[in-house]
Amino acid sequence: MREALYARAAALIDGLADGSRDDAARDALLADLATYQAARVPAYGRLLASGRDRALPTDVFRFARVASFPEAEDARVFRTSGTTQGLRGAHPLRDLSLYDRAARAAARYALFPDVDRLRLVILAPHPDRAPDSSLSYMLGRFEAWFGRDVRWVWGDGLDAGALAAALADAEARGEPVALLGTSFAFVHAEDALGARRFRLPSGSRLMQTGGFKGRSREVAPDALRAALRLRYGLDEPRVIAEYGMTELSSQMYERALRDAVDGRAPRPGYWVPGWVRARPVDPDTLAPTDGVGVLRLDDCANLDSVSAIQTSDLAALDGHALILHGRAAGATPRGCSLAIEEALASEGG
Amino acid sequence: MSAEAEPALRAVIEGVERAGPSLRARPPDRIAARLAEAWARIADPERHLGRLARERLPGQTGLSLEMVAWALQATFDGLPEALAEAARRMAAPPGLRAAPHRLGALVLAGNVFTACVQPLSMALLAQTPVVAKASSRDDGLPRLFAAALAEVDPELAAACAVVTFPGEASGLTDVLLARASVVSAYGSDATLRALRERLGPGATLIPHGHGLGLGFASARALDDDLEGVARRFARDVAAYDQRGCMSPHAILVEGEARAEPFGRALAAALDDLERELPRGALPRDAGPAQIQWRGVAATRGPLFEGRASAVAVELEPAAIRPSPGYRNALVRPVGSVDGVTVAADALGAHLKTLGVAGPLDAVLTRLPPSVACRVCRAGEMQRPDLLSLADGRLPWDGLRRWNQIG
Repeated sequence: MREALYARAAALIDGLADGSRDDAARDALLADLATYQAARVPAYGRLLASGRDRALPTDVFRFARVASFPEAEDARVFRTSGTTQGLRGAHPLRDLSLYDRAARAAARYALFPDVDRLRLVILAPHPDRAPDSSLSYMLGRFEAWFGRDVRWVWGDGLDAGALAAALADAEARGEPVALLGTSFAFVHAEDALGARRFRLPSGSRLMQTGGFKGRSREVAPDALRAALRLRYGLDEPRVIAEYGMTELSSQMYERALRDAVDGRAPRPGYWVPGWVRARPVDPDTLAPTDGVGVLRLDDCANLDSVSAIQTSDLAALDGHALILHGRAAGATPRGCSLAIEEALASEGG
Repeated sequence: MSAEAEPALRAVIEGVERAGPSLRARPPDRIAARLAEAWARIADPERHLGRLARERLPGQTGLSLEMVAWALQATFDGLPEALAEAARRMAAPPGLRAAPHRLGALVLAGNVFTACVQPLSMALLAQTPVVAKASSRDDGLPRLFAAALAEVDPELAAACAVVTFPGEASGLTDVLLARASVVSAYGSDATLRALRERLGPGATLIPHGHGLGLGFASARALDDDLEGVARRFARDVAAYDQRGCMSPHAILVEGEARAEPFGRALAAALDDLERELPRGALPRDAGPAQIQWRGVAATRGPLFEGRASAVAVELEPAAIRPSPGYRNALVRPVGSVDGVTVAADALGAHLKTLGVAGPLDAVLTRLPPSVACRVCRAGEMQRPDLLSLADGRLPWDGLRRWNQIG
């Protein structure tokens, strides 16, 4: 049964890699995946038995193993960076080929639609240094799929000298470059580079992802975007954000760059690949909502864990595109609940 | 922060300080009588300020009108008597004479709108002129009180001012803290730590940190009247939409076999209460926490959901997950009343109220040294009176100082 589901998921990704859609095929596959996964992932089985059409909350990845296969078959375990109650979420994968297929197709469509390969400058740890980071893994694959003259400029922290040298070299040679990294890494770069400005060659681009998570000073998204454009001499559609999470196998990218390449006026929002279903839901009823809701993502590439993932992010849809409204701070005062969570963690029962 | 905000705040503080001598000359029992008159104007829905309270507070607090009305009644019932009793208990013992503070600062809570009643009343009863900084999103009741007091007794009202400015306006906070010799503050642990560092030497901080409530239902109470116990705890959960520091997040049930039936009954009682005391609209940023909490619960055990509430029953040993509030409660079994000790100890100073269906003494005698809280009957958790302990302290502790004679 897994082989058949794998083949359908792979075919769907391949077939929709050009940005086309087949929502009926996607939804049929998601329904079959839910049945398959509910029978094999105990936490998910219990969730569906509760009687509502419920997606698995990302929090469950902190408390329970979310996998349809035994631990001995783990090929890789990606872990979340944030901790609550001292627990990091874990997403075990038995087979990375479907992850690779989805990641490559999405990046090719939205991040590298106009080039075969180009220089990459990566502001994130190399996968050898961070083997449990899904982002590092993905960027490592980008090196193989899209890279040429790749520079990793984040070791124990930002190597600002290496970053400046890599960009100066690209400027001098007139070769476009893709800067890829986390938002907090780019903030560190802002702090480290001082007055240094770059005018990156035409065709360059920058992809930022993730929040700050206390790893740098907080910068408002619009302010950071403006600072990055100014710092690296990039036009607006060439600074785009990626939205992904450890619990998923697929990623979403802002559609502005693709729009620009296609000769369209850049539109706000994230492109949702055809093999992913994005639905903001009402937190009381769990029903899909027309306005802003809590984002549920159903990812056909999550074959061996759970496809239906309930995020903590607030979002709305604009057609098929995703408009993110940020991550909520939580209902209870965080200072209170964090302290209490930590206290209760030590109780253990 | 506007450029004129700081001079304006200084002027407010100076005005309040000027009212100090008059306030210090008043005996506390007379102050109590005037305070009672002022609060009564808000309590009475037929009076102008009472009507205003019911018009404005739902929008400002996010609570339903029914919930606001319930909270006002629960807070003001018996208040005149409690004010008079507080004045009696605060009187100087033989050989001592009151030495009121020159100025008190209150940093009020933003999650429960009636939480201002005790600190405002106590400061004035302690003959301390007071400037109250209210949450910018929840300043309705303090301002109504200031207006009521101005109607009842303008001279007394001059000793009390309510100001609102963002927490990040640190310059204004510094202006306020620089003049105050006693500061009573509600807030997170981090907020309180930051305030403590900014106080002048000799100034007293009365901290009210964040916390929560727990419930305990004994086997006998459940066997006698499971649905009655569920109805009483449902009221505790529903009050203030479970946003208060006395709100129970979890109810411990004696005996594993009783947990699921009790959880089902509690969910039914919460759903029934939705008719009498509807929950306010769920704020957008509370949705993710609720959806995560309920989803995790559904992977662990029975989850009973109502129209605007949910009860999770978790039988397996695991750390208690704090509820996101908004009427989401956890039911956990304990082997005996000793299980309360373990849970209470884990919460420590964060445990503010322990509601009990069963013998109170059995719980009181088992509280660990880490806990100083209010233990009350189920159904009364959200109805503390004016004399109730505040964070394990008498409500005037820190506000009263003495000169010794002889």
